Amino acid sequence: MSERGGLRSVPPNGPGSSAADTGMEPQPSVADLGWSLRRVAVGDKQAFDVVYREMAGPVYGLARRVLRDPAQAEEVAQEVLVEIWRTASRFDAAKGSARAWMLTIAHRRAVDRVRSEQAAHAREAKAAATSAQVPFDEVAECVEDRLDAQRVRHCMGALTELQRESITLAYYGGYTYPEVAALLSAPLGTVKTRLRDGLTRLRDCLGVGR
Amino acid sequence: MTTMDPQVHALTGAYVCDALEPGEREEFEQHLAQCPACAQEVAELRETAAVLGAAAVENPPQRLHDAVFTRIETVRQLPPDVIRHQTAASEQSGSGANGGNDGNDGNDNVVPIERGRERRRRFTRAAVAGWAAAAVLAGVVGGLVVHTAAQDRQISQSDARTAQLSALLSAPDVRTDVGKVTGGGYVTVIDSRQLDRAAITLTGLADPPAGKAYQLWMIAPGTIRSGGVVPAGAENSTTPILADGLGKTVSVAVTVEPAHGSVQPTSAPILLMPMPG
Repeated sequence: MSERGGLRSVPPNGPGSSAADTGMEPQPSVADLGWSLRRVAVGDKQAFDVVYREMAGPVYGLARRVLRDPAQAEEVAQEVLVEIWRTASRFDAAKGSARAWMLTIAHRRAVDRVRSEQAAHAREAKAAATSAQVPFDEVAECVEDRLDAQRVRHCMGALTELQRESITLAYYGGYTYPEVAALLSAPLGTVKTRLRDGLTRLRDCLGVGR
Repeated sequence: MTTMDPQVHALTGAYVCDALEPGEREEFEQHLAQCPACAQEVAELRETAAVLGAAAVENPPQRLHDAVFTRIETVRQLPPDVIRHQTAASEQSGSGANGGNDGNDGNDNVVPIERGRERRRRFTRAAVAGWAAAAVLAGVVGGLVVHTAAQDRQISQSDARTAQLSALLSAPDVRTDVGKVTGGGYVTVIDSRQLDRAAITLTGLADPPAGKAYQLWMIAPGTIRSGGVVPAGAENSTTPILADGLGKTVSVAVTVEPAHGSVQPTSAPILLMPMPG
């Protein structure tokens, strides 16, 4: 069959037969999602359904975390998922995992929405300060059974308070780092540094490598 | 160019959190293009942030699925960034970053196939399930007839299979779906989460190329494991393949592999479909 003659070899990230030959443990990577994205790029809706099933929850949940409003989160999630369909061919496994690629799109969209909302009605500092009290534990609240949430909870707990608050406000809260600095009454440079070294510590704790 | 302004470099964390001011973001991205060390750090911190993002998982309403799948009908997909892909391919040889040509070839096949599937999906679940159940039962009975003439052991194996299939088909949460294979043929998946079992039937697939076989793959978040090599002759029959221990399997795929099978898939899937249940 001609189609089969045209099959490609090992997908990027995909552990191939060489792993079996060397007796190495095949890496249970996010290869399946990268694999699915390659099918999505050629218009395969079944593959997109696979991606949807895996990513709609995180995309929607992250949008909800940042935006709070379920209706807006749903709009953003829809935009993001359609964007994934549209730009699947641009996913480059050499640059990172499929999940990170998709969640980067999701986070930026959600934050952009926050910012445009802000332009429309400048948020009151007081209201913002109240939201700042949100404990990080809430992050994992609805998904305690998920391994990711458990790991995140554990590793967030290992950060300094300033690192944790900075990351929580910036990443989950959608605040800019000058806003975070104002909310925490900390110097700009300190927040900037805490975001970086906090994430670096999380990276090591979560065992996220490339 | 390679001199790294420590001040700018320190913005990696804020950048990954999308916490830079609008103007700053663009500035940092320009810097990123010229600073491989920053790009590396951003990539790593992005993977970290993705774990934070994934931890926020929440079930979206069903209407999101409907809205997204309606929208994509009218959205043209971007072509691959061919120049960048070729560069990437030459940088890491053999990584298969040659999506460009395949994208064009694949489209002609995939689009009508998917339309076919959409049509099928409009049948009621019950109708599909009924048809599939009939197909599977026919396969079982056919198998039994063949095996009756064979050894006793085979008969008892067939009996066990029949019992397992009957249990599957009468499970309260049994679900069925049909996927069309690139290049022709269908795969029917019947599963029950309660029984933790699926029956997979291949129909109308062409013979695999010489020395090759079809292999099933069960995909769970983060892992792909073999669902077994399809025995010669079974690629075009109604004899179901039973898969136990579904666990967190979310989708099933079929690839063409060497006849003895592979530990992990070594070619692009000719079928990739979500588990029905």
